[in-house]
Amino acid sequence: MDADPASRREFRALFETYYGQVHAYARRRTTQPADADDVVAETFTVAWRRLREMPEEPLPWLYGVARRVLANQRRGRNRFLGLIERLRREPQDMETPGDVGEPVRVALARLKPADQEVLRLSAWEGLSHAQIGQVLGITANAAAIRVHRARRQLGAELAALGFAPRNTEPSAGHSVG
Amino acid sequence: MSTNGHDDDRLAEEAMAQLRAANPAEAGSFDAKGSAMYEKITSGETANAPKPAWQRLPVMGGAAAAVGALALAGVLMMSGGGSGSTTASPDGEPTLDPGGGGLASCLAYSIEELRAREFAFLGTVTNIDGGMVTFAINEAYHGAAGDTMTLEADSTLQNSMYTEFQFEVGEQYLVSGDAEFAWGCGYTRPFDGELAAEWEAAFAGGPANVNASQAVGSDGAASCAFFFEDATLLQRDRAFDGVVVGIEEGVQGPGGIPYAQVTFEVNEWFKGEGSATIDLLASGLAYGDRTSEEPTLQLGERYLVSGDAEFAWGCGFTRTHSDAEADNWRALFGE
Repeated sequence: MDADPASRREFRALFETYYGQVHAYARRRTTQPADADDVVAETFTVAWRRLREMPEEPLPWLYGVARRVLANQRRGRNRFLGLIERLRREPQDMETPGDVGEPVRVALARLKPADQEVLRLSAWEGLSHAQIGQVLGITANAAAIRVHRARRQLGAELAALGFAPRNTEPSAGHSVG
Repeated sequence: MSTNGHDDDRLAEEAMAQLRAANPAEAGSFDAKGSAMYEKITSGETANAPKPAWQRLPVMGGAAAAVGALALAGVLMMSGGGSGSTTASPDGEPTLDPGGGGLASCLAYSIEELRAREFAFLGTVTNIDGGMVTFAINEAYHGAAGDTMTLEADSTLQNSMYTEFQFEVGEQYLVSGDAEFAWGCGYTRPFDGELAAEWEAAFAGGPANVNASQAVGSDGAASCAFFFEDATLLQRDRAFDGVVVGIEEGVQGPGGIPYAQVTFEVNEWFKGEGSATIDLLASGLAYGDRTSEEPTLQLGERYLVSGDAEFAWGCGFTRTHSDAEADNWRALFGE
């Protein structure tokens, strides 16, 4: 990355504008603050290198990069900790941040990882279907379908836990999964 | 199945309200920590910054203890670099490679781990800029879209602990990795014809060729070589609306990978053979690990199916039938 003054100014503006949102995105998906910092640093390092490729709407692009960085981080961690964990016989939960006892989090954890993510992007990042599509690399239409289905599944899971009004049987889904 | 869509919607809305309230972190502002991070990034320090603990272990004091523990458990270790053999712990988990110096460094190279990478291609190095290497993609085996890829290779490939070669402009390499990173440890190597054929075979059949049991980590969508979208669907060899009328499990496919052979009775061809029935290979029957859109194929159920060669692709390219989606496919292929 050429460090010309114009690029620095552009990147500085990008960094200051989106640092908080990207950091919150990472915090919502990690258990350790240091891991979130690593994700943010790596995400913006990629952004710095690819400043010229930055789309008009940077945030979904940044979330998309952060998502891949997180996935990479988890893979490496899970593989290594999987070995250590078995040797030490000390179970560790590295996947679910926050208070896992909260009913809606329990319900969320019962969904497929891909469904969990579309709901997080919708509820926590507040993204539109089009923006979710940009993060996940799918069409806005596909994102809308996923969100719609995942919302219903979350409702059914929450109802099954007894924490929400339940007038109907939860949907089992049509031979999915 | 619910009988009242209105109730489902109400439950969904309430659940989403609870989820929004359970947001574990509000967006903060640009603070001193952010400012320090900005300085590090723009000064290039982050390229050499300490890695997270799990990445750092090979060169930390704790690594020796970890390796010792692995050795005590009887875990076999391989020699370092790109030509090592694959070893596994007694229960088949990939092992860490201690390397020639006795430090754990590599995830042992194996075809199974290679298949789990987000991208794999044969490429020619066109530029080396610090730790960034740009490749012209000559042949994409998996997940490599476009004509070029620029990858971070500084932390792995320019360290002799991980590789036995240095990149040279104009030379061809077999490259695989995840996210922005070309992996070392045998996952990126100088071109070799036999190895290239092995890699090609490893990824033959597209996304469905990745066995569901090999989908790594919690982020299943990462196992897809292609995300489902209209342009990618259009490129498939065939696409049809059909009903599963036969399933034979345990059929051996390319690379010795077990598949299910699924017989479809075709209601409508959008593209392809035009036959009344067709037998296709599916990677197991569970596509569900990849995205939320994939069904588990079941006898008597109706699907929209697409894929190449003898494979029904997963990752959204084979999905439960709906009239609306069938209309989309018909219109798409009819254009």
